[in-house]
Amino acid sequence: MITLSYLIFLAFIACTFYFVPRKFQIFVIFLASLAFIGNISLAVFLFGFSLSIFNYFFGLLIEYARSKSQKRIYYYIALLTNIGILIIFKYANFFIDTINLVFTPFANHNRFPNLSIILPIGISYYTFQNIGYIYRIYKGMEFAEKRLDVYTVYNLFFPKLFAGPIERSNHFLPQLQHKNEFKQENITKGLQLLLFGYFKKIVIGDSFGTTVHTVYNNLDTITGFPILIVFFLQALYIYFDFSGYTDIALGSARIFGFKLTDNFERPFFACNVSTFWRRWHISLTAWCNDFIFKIVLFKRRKWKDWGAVYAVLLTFLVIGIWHGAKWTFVVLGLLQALAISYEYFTKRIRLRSAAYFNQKLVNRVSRFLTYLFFSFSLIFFISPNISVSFNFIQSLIPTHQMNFIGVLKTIPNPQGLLFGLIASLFILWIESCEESGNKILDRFLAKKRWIRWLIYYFLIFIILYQAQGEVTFIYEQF
Amino acid sequence: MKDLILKLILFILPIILIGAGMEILLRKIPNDYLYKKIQLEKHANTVETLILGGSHAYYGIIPDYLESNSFNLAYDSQFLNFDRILLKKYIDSLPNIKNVIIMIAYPTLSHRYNEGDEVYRKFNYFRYYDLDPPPKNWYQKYYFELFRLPFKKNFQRIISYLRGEEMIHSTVKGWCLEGKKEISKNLEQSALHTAKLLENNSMDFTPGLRELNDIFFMCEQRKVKVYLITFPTWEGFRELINMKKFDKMIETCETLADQNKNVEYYNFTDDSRFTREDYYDSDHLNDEGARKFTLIINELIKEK
Repeated sequence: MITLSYLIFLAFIACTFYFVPRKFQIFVIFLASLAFIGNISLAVFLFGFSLSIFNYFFGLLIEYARSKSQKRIYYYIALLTNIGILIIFKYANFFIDTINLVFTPFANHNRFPNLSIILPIGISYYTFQNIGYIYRIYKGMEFAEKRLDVYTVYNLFFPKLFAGPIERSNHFLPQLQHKNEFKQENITKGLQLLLFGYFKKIVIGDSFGTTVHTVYNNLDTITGFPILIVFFLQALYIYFDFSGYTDIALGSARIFGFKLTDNFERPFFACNVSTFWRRWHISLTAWCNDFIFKIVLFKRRKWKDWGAVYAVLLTFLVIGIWHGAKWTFVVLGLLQALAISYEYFTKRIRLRSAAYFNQKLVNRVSRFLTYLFFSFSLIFFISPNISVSFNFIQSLIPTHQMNFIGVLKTIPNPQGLLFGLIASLFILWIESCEESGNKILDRFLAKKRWIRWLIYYFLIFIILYQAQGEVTFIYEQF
Repeated sequence: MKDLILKLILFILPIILIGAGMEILLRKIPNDYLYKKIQLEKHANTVETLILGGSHAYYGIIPDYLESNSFNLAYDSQFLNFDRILLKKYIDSLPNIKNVIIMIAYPTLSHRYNEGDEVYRKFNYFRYYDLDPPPKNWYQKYYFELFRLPFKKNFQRIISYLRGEEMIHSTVKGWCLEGKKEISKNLEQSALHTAKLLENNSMDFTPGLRELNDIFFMCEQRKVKVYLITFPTWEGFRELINMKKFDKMIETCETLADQNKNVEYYNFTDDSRFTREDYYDSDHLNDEGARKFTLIINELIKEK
């Protein structure tokens, strides 16, 4: 999505979309999405399309089932198939490794071989969409989609194929069922989002990513100050990489008049971990809230407070494991659940204590502590395994090697990093203005055209100048 | 809609114009590929020894120190497929050619031709040598200079050119004089970086062997001697590479030399005559190291 090929493809599809009669518009997107996925790999195309056909038919079967029991059977077949496929592709080797680990002490134990499976791109995203869709039809919350091309676009719409957002069927399907009129506002908003997305990803995300990964890959040789820098940088890295991708996806979709769910709402201005997760990867947390947290909370309502803790724990375990089949992600989920439970039980005491201090100061300290906690938990997100995570944590302890000059020597592309830092501070400043109600972006858009265009040209120049040829996104691997 | 299309065209037009201007400027910039081509074609009648390969050979063999008339046609990251197609292009226009020196480094035999960061260099062979390698991306099929390198590098090249800086880094006989004069102060860090960079985790030598056999056949028909040379590398670098793969590479080259009458293989990788002072970085000789090494190669050629 950050290649010239993608932009030309997008422009071509957008032109075709607006020039064909309106009744064929979705069919154009359908063909474009299949061509896009087919260009990645024929196997991924066949897999994604087959799964869409499967869920499309089961959606209809559930809706038109003659009896409740028949409905339930269809629902469970569809649900278990979706979950089963996800487990086989994503978690089979994790289970095999765990079984092998458990049986290691037994001398005669023959190791179970790992399966050689390649994870289809976007599987975690569209499987969750399918499960949500099937559940809502089963519960009678919406009607099944009648057109296969519309359902396939809901599932495999090319801008959101790689890393979401995970769209809820009641939000995205109605948009696909309407005929889209040409609106200049959609195109300009879409292009602006694309530009901001590329800026976040290339100028900030990639430059931070190089530093972060260099340090994680060389923990044996790098110690001291660079580790501390990376500790503070890694949350910004993930944020700008993923929100950059999200803006590109949202911008691409907006060109066609579709409004996808934004995954971020200024997360670093959250004052606690609970609020943070309402602003971070919103489409995933909203899905988990609807289909896990609320259901578990309702079922365990008799447990009172402990029911809520249980629901939070289960939800964040799923969020952790959703990222991948690794113990590090389990720890990531557990840490969030612990923090939210702590906040839940100490809310009164904390509010009472905070009343003694200046509110602004309390907010700032709370934001900083939330950021610190999230950065800490991200050690388990970025590390390839638990031992690397602990190695990193150990290296965080200050040593005599905390000298700044040494840092500059170990950081690859320090100029790019500096660029990234300045740009990230600028974006965080804009977010801070927006957070306090100062609509700075709206004021910018109200400026004269030549001023806006000059800034756009400047951003394009910086993007091109900083482009390192990196074409992947961190959330693409999930 | 008309209004929007007009605005879009107006917005994109300066970008296209600047791009076109950059493309024109980039095509004007003198470069080593074109320069060495012109020099080789100019001295074709006198060349007796042709040096091929990647950066080890480009920096490491100084034709002026060889007694036979030599030309260094090596370039950075030039792997065996380009050695072969360059040799095929020129071998019949070099009437006095007697020897071909080919660099064999750690990644040479296992290199996959359409992968890696250096794949963009294929453009040079198309544009300056009229060779037709497959492009990396569809738009590179049209061979724009602008898309060959990242924008930043192109921009910096244009600035250097406009400032009047020297853009040619090769001598008349093709050796690179790009300031490799100093002794590297950080061989350890360079070794770490290079060992990682060169590892493609493949022990499959089939692509390299196919190219080598074609080269041997071409040379045998014309009674040209082939010298496969593994250049000296700093010991710290050798400790970081996969020695199993490296040993297999040496064994393969020795077998090739045994099987082909016109082929000799020399491995200088751990030659004790080369010390820390002879290296520019962990796997490249500096100017003094190159002089020393060329004199050794000269003796070898003389003996044969």
